[in-house]
Amino acid sequence: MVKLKRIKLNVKTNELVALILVAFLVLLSVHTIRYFFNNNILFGDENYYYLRNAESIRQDFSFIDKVTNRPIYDFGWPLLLAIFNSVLGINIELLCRFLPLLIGLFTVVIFYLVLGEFDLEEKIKSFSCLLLIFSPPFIYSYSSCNNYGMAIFLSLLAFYYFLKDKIINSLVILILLSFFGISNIILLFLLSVIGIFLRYRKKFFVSLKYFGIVFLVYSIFKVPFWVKYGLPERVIFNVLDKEFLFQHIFSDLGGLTGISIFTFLLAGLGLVSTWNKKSKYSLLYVSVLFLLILFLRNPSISFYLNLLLIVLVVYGFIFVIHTRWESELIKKMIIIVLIVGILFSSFSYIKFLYTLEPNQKTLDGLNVLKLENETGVVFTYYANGNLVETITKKEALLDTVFVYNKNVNNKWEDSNKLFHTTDINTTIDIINTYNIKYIVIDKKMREGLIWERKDEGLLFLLKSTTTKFKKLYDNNEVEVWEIT
Amino acid sequence: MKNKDIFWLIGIILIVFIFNLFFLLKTEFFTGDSAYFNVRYVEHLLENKRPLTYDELSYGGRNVLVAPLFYYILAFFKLVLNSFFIYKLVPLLASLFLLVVVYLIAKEITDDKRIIFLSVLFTGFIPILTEGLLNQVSFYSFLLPVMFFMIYCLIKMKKNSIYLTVFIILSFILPLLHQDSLLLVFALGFYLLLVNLESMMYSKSKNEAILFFVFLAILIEFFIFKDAFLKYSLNLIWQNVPKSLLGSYFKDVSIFEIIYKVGVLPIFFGIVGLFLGIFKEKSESAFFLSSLILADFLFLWLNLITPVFGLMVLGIALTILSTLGLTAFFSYLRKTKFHKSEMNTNLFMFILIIFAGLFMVIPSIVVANQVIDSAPTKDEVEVLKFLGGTTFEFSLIGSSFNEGNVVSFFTNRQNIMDTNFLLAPYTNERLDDLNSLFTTNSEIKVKEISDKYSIEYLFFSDKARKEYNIDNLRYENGRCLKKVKEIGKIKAYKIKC
Repeated sequence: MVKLKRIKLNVKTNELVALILVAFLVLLSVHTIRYFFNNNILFGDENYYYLRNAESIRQDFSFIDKVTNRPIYDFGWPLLLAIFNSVLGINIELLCRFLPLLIGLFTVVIFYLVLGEFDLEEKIKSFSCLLLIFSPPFIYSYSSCNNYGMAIFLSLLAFYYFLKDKIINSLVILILLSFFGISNIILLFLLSVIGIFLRYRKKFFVSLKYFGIVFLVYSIFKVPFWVKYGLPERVIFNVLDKEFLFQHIFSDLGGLTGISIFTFLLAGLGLVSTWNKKSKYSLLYVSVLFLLILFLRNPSISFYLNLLLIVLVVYGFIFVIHTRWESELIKKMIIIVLIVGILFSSFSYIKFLYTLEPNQKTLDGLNVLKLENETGVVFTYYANGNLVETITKKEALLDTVFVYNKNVNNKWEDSNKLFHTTDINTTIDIINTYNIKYIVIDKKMREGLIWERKDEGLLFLLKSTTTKFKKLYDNNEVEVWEIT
Repeated sequence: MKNKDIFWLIGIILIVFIFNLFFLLKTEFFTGDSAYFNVRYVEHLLENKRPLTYDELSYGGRNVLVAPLFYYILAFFKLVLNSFFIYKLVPLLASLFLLVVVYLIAKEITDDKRIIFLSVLFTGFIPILTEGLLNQVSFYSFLLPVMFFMIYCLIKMKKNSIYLTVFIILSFILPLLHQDSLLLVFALGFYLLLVNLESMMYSKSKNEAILFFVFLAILIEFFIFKDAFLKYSLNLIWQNVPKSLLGSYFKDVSIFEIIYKVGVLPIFFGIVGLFLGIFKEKSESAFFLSSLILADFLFLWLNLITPVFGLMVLGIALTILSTLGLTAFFSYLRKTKFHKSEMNTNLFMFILIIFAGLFMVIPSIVVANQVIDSAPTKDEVEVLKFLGGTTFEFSLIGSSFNEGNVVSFFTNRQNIMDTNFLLAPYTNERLDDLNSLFTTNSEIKVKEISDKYSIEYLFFSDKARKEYNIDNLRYENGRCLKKVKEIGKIKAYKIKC
């Protein structure tokens, strides 16, 4: 941030301070509500992955996950947590709450500065920042421990330096970014390829050179990993179930990393309003389309897509405000409906985060499992894997991190088979293959995520094969079974 | 509107009113399971002064999520008039407003008064409207008139006219009545698409009003159903209806039945009117109504609406469009040798009325009788009241899912399953278990199911007999059941095993 002082900033301080304050309140609200209504328990699965691995790095600077014995591949964020913990002495769980929040505030500042580079009116810049602050992907990124928030922040910072012709700074930031997930760099590279192809063809070699340097530095750091562990197995399955595709896309339908339906609607209006100058906006259209396609396969793309959609949303709003309407009444009411729609999406998303698992009952169940002495793998839905691993200190068959998870494709296939088969022999085969000792089933799994009936697949076997499965704990929220 | 027109319109409305009232008075009960849910909801609203968000009786206890306005309207009338009859009267009066709306739209299409009143008469006797609205305390009684009145407002809309204001007000009301109002959102979307494809000139204010309605309706539905959206995602549009029921929506509906229920005359003249309106006259009303039909077909195809609602919308839209067909028919008639005097045209009109009588009024009477016959009988109610009076407060009574709310209404006891599926737990599984409970030979199965849901009593009505295609429960004489009440063919059992 020191370097920023050397750059002429295009900033109106009061508005920026107000935006930071709004962002602070929005992000803080998630933690505050959870503090009062959900025992201050960290939400989601990812938080627990970083919590566990930051602890691991802090203890002995080891980049090996102590529970799963897998290498911590994208170590940027856990390393950062461990450093802050060592330097400031703040406990990691607290850091998991407030470090993302702090980075979120910096992201608002950078986004504001980036917009300043495009000669936009002050009102439009502020409004865009407000849209960003109230967007579900922003709220998620900066109210929980994850790679995405930092990745977005660094991407915007790199872009800002790029716009300011501070290429070296930009390059350094990109190299840093690579440690928060190389997919971010690949994505930025592909976006720059689109940009080069559509507009800046002369910059092709310059771009290639810089990204080449980033990939090179990244590879140098990763060589020890590759030598020791080999290259990660290619994941051939898609975690996005077709049935839940819409849920992933829209936050209003329960997508944790989804985008608000009103953002899409307004972006549609933005598209209509800019269509007359389509050659000017072609780069934006193609980039949005490209990210949208990727988003259908990878939910984490939403954080980048959200940024570009906000640009279209702003155009949509400008269209509504500046177009001459026959009825002023309708115009005012449409503006009200759109603003209420966006705010409603944000507030219902915050409410969704506050009710998100785990809750105290889930932790109670997992604490029972933690006390079990038998070694063996825990079988549960992959999205609960990190939570189970962190709380129980027992390895789950699958978690959300697929890199270096041995035979991950087979495990995925067998997990699905195990969930749905009623053939006890198949079940026993899979259990023996992976040394599964415990099964954890939560309410969501029982109520539609995996099964739609109480006597379907594995649920049927658990109930009917009492000699093989012993229920250790059940509190309606979570069931823990032991395989005897 | 001239006095003579008002006289004719009120005359037709009175005829339709008396027709419906005649059938309504034939039974003191309501038809359909959802009618009893609606009545229970309103009674709860009045008693507790707050909406029913958790229904202790349905499915043994479950959350309830509904668009609330319909219930508040009924509660208001119940509060003012304090009579149970308002559940029959208010929906009937609301549905009669549909005739006024049809009159208004038809007037925009043709100047021929005879044709206008003929289409109003057709509307009053569309058999599917009788099937969907009569004696059912149905929100469609409000939804349909409001939906078509909004279309009328759009047809009449000019810059800053009163119709714009009315349209804005109705834009708030319609989504609060029921989520099926999203049909109009899609219909208006199709309208914009069609007029653009046809490069028709259309008023900018209509465009703006439609845009406003689309955004507002989506916002309101999201606001009301946000919890359901989080639970079911986009599957919410199927409202958690069990898959086997969803799949059988059109299983028993043949094309002849559709013609019979929508009416031969509206279908024939409506289709002619549709083609003339779109391809020849480029009538704006025809574009609105054909967009509605298009959206209706789409929703029916995707099972997003029930066949009854879909056919009601189709019937009304085609009846209004039939004014175009009839106008063309009579103007053609005037050019033929047949037309020697206006008397001949009137003769034709008379023949059409006779046809309407044959193909619409008689089917309506048949359908109305069927609807009234489907209401619970006095025997059924007596058996249910016996159960209500002799069982414990938290007893659970098993019945066909089509009678779940009926059972809960008369006994004030919990049911296993009813027709309010949204947010209900394990609907597919419960439906299968109920099928097994009524059709199995095995007492072990009965025990398994009754243990699973803690069923203590079983209500076996004539409707269950027809639904499951059985005369008696096959395990009736075993050790599992004890008959506690029997009136005619209606039986109540205590499950002992």
